[in-house]
Amino acid sequence: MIVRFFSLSVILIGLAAGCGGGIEKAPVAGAVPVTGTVTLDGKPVGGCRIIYFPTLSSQGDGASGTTDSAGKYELTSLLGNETAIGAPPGSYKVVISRMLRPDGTALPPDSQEPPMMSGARESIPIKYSDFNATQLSATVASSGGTFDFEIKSK
Amino acid sequence: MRSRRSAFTLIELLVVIAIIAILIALLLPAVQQAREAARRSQCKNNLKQIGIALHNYHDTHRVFPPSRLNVGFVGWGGVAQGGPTRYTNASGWTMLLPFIEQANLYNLYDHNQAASWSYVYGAYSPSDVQGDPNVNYQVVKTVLQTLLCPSDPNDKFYNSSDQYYSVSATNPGGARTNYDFNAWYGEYYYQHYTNRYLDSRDRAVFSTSWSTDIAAIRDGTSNTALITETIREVWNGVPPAWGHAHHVGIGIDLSWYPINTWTYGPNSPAYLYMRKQGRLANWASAGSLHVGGCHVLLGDGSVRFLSENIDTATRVNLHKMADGNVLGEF
Repeated sequence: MIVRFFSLSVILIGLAAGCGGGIEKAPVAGAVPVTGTVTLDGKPVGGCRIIYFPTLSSQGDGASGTTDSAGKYELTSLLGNETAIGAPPGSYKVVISRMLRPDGTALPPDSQEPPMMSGARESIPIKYSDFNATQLSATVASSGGTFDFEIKSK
Repeated sequence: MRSRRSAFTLIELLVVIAIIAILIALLLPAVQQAREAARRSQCKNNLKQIGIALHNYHDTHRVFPPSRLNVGFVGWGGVAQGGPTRYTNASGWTMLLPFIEQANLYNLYDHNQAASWSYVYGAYSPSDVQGDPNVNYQVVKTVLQTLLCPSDPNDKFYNSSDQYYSVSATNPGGARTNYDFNAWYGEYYYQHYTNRYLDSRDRAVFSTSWSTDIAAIRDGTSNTALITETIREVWNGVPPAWGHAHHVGIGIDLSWYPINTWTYGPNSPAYLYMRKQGRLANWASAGSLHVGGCHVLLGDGSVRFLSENIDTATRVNLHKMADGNVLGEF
């Protein structure tokens, strides 16, 4: 009986010690549609990855999109476990990236190959493509919006 | 008269068991963490030894070693921009070997031969490599325990041979390191342009083919990072090797991605396919498998554990040696 009592208490203590609390992510406000055009030296540029990084005042995990051959993009984001069109309202830091392989061809934006495995490098100047150096930003209003970025290679 | 048998009562036994149970409840979680705590101490000690080695190197040579030397995988650089006629892809860790009691290994290394053949962007081609990188393969393939974090179970080598990451066409990559010099990530492309492009306030202590001294750390040695910890598994790119430079193996940029970034790009559906806890998303980024942050070695020789939730401005200011900003508490 004592052995049983002892083993039961050990099991109970083990269970109690193993129960760590996971932190639930707070739900974020609904996303609103965000679209726009990216031009490089005045010409629309396709195959760019455009990423909206949330700043402290905005909710959510950010959003991203890819430009088509006309330079147009549409953002998608992740709210909880659901995919949403657009991004939650708020202010964002914007990064535009276009990776080129050593032979000059663009790495497809939907490629699941890590860019550096193909020797690809960034073709957009660092003041647009680097998270720390970017001078681009966007403030998404509650009605969504269109954000066009005219970037220059020099 | 009947003799009384001496024995415990049930109550006494239950009280003793209850006390033992309480003691176990107190000790059990501590035991589970003890091994990881020991590994964390060992990791911290590795960085401490590297710090002493760097200071001894500075006392001997009056400068710190460069992070990497004469790299061949650059796009901007090459002979036309003042680069070397022959590239070597040598590493500053090789120069530190005599200061971490690896003088015998140092004596095996031939400085007239390149450390690897990595070439990518066309400023150089394999015909520009100095000597034969296969000669030094026996040195750069040596696993140095001082450069490995005991909490990191990942591969110690890059196992295939290609123009990006291996020593030569016939030999795979050299032994990896969990600790690397704080340097600007852009050096993977801009070798000799680095110190022309970067404002002096944006520079890190280490740089390719360029040495600095303690006087140049104007923010103060206790406010500037020298060496940062990383993980030997990376999604985009390959972790650094200690003995040779390779494409993207040029140091750790603490000012680039936040510590322990597992997702490449934002946490959005387009990127989630590559997210994996414990694998860094990008090369040259800081991280560790000690939960919650990573170690850094500061210029004064102290080793600090940085939380992955550290303020971005503090993290960036730690990386830059002469930014002129007040660091604050971290």
